[in-house]
Amino acid sequence: MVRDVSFTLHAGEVLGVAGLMGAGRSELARILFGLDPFEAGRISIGGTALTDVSPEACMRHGMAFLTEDRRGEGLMMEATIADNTALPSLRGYARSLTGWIAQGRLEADVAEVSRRVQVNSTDYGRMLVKNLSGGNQQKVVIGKWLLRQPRVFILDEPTRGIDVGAKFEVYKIVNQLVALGTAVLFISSEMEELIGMCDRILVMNHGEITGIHERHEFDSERILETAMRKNLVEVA
Amino acid sequence: MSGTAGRRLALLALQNAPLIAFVVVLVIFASLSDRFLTLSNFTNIVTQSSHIAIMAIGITFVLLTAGIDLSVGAVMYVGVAILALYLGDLPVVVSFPLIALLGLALGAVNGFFVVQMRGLHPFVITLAMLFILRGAALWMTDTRMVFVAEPIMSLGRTSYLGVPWAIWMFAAVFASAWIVLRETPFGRQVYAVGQDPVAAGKAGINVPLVLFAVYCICGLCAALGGLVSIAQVAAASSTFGFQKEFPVIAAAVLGGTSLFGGRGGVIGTVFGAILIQTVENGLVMTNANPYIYPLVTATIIFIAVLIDSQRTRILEAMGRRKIRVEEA
Repeated sequence: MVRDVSFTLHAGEVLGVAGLMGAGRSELARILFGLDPFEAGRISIGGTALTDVSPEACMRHGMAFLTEDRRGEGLMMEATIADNTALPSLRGYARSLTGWIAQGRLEADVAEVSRRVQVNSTDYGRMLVKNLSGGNQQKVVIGKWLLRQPRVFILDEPTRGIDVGAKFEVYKIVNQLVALGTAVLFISSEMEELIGMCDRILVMNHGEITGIHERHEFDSERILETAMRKNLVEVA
Repeated sequence: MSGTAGRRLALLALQNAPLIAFVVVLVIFASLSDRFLTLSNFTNIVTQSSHIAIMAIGITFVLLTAGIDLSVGAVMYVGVAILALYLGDLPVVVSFPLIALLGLALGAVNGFFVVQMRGLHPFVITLAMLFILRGAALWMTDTRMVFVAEPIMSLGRTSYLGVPWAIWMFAAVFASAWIVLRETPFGRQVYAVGQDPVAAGKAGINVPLVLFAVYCICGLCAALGGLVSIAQVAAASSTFGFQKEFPVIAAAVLGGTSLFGGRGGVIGTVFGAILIQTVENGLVMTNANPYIYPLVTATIIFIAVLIDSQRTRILEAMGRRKIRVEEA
């Protein structure tokens, strides 16, 4: 359940979303990407309000979503790196005349983006995703969205369960994206990560926004306090 | 490690099962009949297998999404019954596309219910469709044999450039299907939906639309298969298309398309269809007892499904992640 959530995400900004488990952060992300329905409200990108909020429509407007559960939702384990990376972008590679895929261009771009996210295998066309480590799987998910050159990128726990090296690479990729003007919504349970990466941090509790912290007032104690605010009120 | 090597060998054999089976069948029948290994007999086999192959190509799309369509034989019968009863006076260039459209529409009905009734397996929906359509066709024809007009019959005897009309149809359907599956975004999406519909949806693929489309394609191919078949036999009795779903599914599965979705393709399907027809042709050639035909066909279908399950099992076993210890 998410209620009365309203915020603005600027281009070239990393907006963190902090909160305790069950605060409604993933629910918010799923609603924004059209995976779950909402009763009332409006989502607009670049000033235009989305009339139809479905994953396809959101993607058409330049949105990308990295799900929390990459094994279950983000990737097709039985498919290769190349197939997974290409999947959301296929339409963009269809030739205008025949509708056939420009295989050469697609392959080259898939290889380029996979190198950029530093997937630890060069056999993109044959390596099955299930044989990759968690960190590399996560890089494939990021790569597949990068191929679409998103304007808005929602990252739900992008570094959960991956090793330190891969984490660092994910941060690098996010910073590159932001430098190119992408707006990033960064959901995380790790306070250090949020403080290190974000320009602003939005704090949620019980499906509501309980505070927004600007960069100069980042302080894990205070953010945690905001994350429990409602609870404190209820107790008192 | 010998276990891995053994598994690899078994997998190689299973993946090339249609080819191996084809060679075995050729050797057996060639040794039993000297008329078997002739060019004219092979043209004959391909011509006779073309309607099965066309329908099997259609069902390959459905199987790739891990679905199934049992109504193909009934679609085939309904199309031909309507062609013979109501469209007999129209020229072929009008009546054939109309029947093809009818097949597409019937497929669309299947697709609609498969998409709308998520909880119901396509098996049940298309089984119901089988009975409804067969019942409708029997009602229309009063269970009597129906005949098609002369222009359609002569079509069955027509050859272009020395190649029978049926084979041209077969080739056209095959080429279109191959291009669609390999070269278009839709083709890739069919595989993606079969492998993991949830992940495919998250990648922005309109999963219901893809599912709907594959049943439309299957219905279209079933109607085309009926047209090719009726041009060859000229008359359709009440058993026309009866139990056709079995050789059609068997052809696809023999050719390496998995019943579990996401794996396979139309080249294998064509091979499977020709293999089945070759066996039947060989039985005729060697004057085998007609009562053993169904036994042989049943055995082939059983082997096809057995191969598929074994192949899936081995692939799963091989795909399991191995834990590697990094050397210090």
